[in-house]
Amino acid sequence: MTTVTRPRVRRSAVPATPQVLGQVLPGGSCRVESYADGVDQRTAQRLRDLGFAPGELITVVRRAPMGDPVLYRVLDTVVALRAEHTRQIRVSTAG
Amino acid sequence: MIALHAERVEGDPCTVRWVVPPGVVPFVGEVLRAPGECGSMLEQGLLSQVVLEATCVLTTAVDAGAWTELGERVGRTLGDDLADTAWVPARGPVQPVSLAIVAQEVLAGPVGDYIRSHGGVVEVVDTAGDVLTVALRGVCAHCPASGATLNDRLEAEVRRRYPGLASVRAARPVSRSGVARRTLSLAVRGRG
Amino acid sequence: MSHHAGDGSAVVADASRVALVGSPNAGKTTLFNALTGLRAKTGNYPGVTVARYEGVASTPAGRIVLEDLPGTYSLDPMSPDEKIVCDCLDASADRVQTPDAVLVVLDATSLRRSLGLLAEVLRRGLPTAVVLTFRDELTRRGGRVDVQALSRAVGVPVLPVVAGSRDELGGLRAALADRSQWPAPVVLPPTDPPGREGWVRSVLDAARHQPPAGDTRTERIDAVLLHPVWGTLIFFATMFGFFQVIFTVATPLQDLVQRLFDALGLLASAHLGSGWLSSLVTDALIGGVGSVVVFLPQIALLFVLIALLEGSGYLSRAAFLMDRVMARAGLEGRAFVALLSALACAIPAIMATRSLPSAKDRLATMMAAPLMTCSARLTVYVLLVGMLVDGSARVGPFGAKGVVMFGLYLGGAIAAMATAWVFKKVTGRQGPTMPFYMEMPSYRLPRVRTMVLAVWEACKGFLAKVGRIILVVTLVLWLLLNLPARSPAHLAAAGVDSQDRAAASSYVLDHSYAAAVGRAVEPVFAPLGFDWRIDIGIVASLSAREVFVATLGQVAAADNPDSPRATLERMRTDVGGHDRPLFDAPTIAALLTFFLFALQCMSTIAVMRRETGTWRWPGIAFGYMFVLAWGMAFVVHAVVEGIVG
Repeated sequence: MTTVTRPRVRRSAVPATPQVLGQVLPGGSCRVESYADGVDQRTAQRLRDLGFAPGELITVVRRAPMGDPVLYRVLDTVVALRAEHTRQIRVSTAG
Repeated sequence: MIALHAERVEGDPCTVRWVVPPGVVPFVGEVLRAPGECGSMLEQGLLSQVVLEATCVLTTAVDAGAWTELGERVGRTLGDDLADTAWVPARGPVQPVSLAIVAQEVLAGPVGDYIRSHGGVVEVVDTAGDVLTVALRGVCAHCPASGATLNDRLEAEVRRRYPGLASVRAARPVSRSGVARRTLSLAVRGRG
Repeated sequence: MSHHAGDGSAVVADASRVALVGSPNAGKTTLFNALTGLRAKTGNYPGVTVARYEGVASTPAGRIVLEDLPGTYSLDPMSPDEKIVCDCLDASADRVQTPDAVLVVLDATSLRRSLGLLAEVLRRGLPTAVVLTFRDELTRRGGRVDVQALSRAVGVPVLPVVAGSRDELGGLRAALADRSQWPAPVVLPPTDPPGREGWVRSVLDAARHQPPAGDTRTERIDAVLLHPVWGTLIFFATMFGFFQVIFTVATPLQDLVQRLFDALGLLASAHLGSGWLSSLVTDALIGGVGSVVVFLPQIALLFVLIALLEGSGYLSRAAFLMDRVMARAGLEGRAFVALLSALACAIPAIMATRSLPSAKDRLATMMAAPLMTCSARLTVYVLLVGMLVDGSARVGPFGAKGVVMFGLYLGGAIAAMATAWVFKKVTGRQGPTMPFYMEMPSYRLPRVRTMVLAVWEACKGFLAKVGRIILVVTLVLWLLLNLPARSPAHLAAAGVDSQDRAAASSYVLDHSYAAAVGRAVEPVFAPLGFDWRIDIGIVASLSAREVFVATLGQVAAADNPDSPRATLERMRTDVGGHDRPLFDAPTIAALLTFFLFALQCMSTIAVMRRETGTWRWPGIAFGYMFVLAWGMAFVVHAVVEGIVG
């Protein structure tokens, strides 16, 4: 099983620990808490279908050469999401 | 929320087996009174019998055709109802979940079916100290694969339903010198 | 990703229908191909723009119709494709025929996600069985699942398929035969999200499911192929190699086809003498069709390469690498895949836009796709570039012809991106926005069978197009170019020696109906350096771009049937008041530019009409592309003229 590793935080990011999925760096893991307020209904539904559902463990795999999108391992699959959506997924890194 | 799903019971269309995680049923045996939907259906006579097993709840309806409607109602609330304390056993003192009961259930279920389909017989000899000792008879007694069967199928299934299991041992008769015990590996074989 | 023809009518009347349902990449289409083989048929669902794939599969109890429904993650539809799956499984929705049974295809490596879809399908109450794919990959990645226990837990049969071997398929066919015996779940899975999540967990637990570890093989390959530096370099090298292979490997095969048709032509003229019938058969039929069939090796090769990229999983990586670039044009990475397949033909590309969840993205991609250099343009390019650039000329280590070709392909791609950007701006921000997501499948060895099928479909479609449209158009053109017939007396009266065959044909051509049509449109194209003979080709190429080549071949053959190419190069014109070679550098460059931009393809217009449901978008596309083509050709003509002198 995958273990939750201490995520490395981008220097430019303000919070000490990542608040949203987009702030977790490649190699790091986190758990989905909730979606940001005002997230589009269809977006939330599709994110849930793909496994980015509250409680699910996500591992950041790698960034595209130009920084976006980013590959995530979720529910034994690898899915690419853009920053515009990973900004809307609140996460916790406690485990 | 308790994770559960329903399975059909072969040869008994009136009964549904609700598979639940280990450690959530309050006791093992037939139920006299139950909380929630199960309870009210028992009272209304829609269900003729409710039996708790270590990792499942067996509900028997009077009419097999009723399950399409009853099933959804039971399934919706059974998870929450199991946490309730209002379950009353049908007779005698409360029988807690024990390794002996779990082992019997497993041997009566698909794992036992598998062994029997190969012409083997496995019987529970002892369960002291959460160590399950079984006797291998029939084809099993001479089968080189019996160790793997015990390990992969029996031990895994018993452990799934009874997490406190320490180990599974085979007790088998050896010519002239009574019973020799063979300890099977406790460790689940490491995989990639 | 192939060129399909046909309508959506039932394949076998009164046969039982079984639908395949599954998430994208679950191996649904591979299974469909394995069960139906070459007996697949493609059409459209009524009233919508979603492709319908049907095929006949034989079972021990007779033939059934298999329907390969679009891939979907849930029955909560977001795109038109997903809506079709939803409607198909809904007995009360009569828009789409409800199947008699359903095969749910589940990827064994992603059961934690895909069992939710099974739960939704089971609730539809149709006879259902599960086909479990990629179990070998699950084992390789250290995961496992007990198939019998899984079947018990979900309440329906579970049929594992690994390699698609004869035995496994036999078992599957047998299971399909007794679908009336399939057990149904005694209680349907719950509908509420927490209940369903619990159901999935409980089922997997009962099936002793061990999820697979990350795919280390795929991760190692990705570390290189998605590397910021190496990955980008490999991407461009792959794309460049793609074209070099198409042009270099195909050449000997094309020579072979050309020689075959040349021999046929000689044979025909030897038996038919030198009358009008000989001209019709050798010039119009054999010459016209041959000039197009010669591109079959290139088309086959193109589809082999696209199938290879798709089947191996690299196409998804390309979409991932290109997403940021596509985002500049307001599109997403998957649109790259549609645009890449537009290199084969705009028609499958326009159909491939269905995989885009956003309607706005679909429209913008559809408008952009016809600008990508399709294989039909290739025929025109090969002819014209061959006349423009000396075959032995080189630019560095590469052949100059290949470099010009690459430039044309690049030009088409840039024009396509710019168009998408403009249309994305024009369609504005109205309507719902779709989230972007894309799954990365594990790298897999492409199945030979899938690749053979893709190539077979492409070649079949191409030959059908040649057989119908191009044959008819070349026949009509031959008539237009040779009628009205001139009697020797008429020729003599016009001062032409009827014994001089070349002079006689030239006179007939100059005074043919085709010439009249060409001269009528000549003023439009005169500023680009085109004379009426080229104009005829352009008008005729509206049916299909390849016809341009066939037309010029016929025009040239009228003068000198033995070497049309040499004749084309010798042709002269006096457009603009002074005598010059018809195919001088500025004119060829302008022609190339015109074909780069113009929407000279009726089939594309028809597909666009079908996909958008209105004449508005194909009308706009034809209009803007014509204006763009004319304008750019005018500029290029002027610039090249300035350079050459």
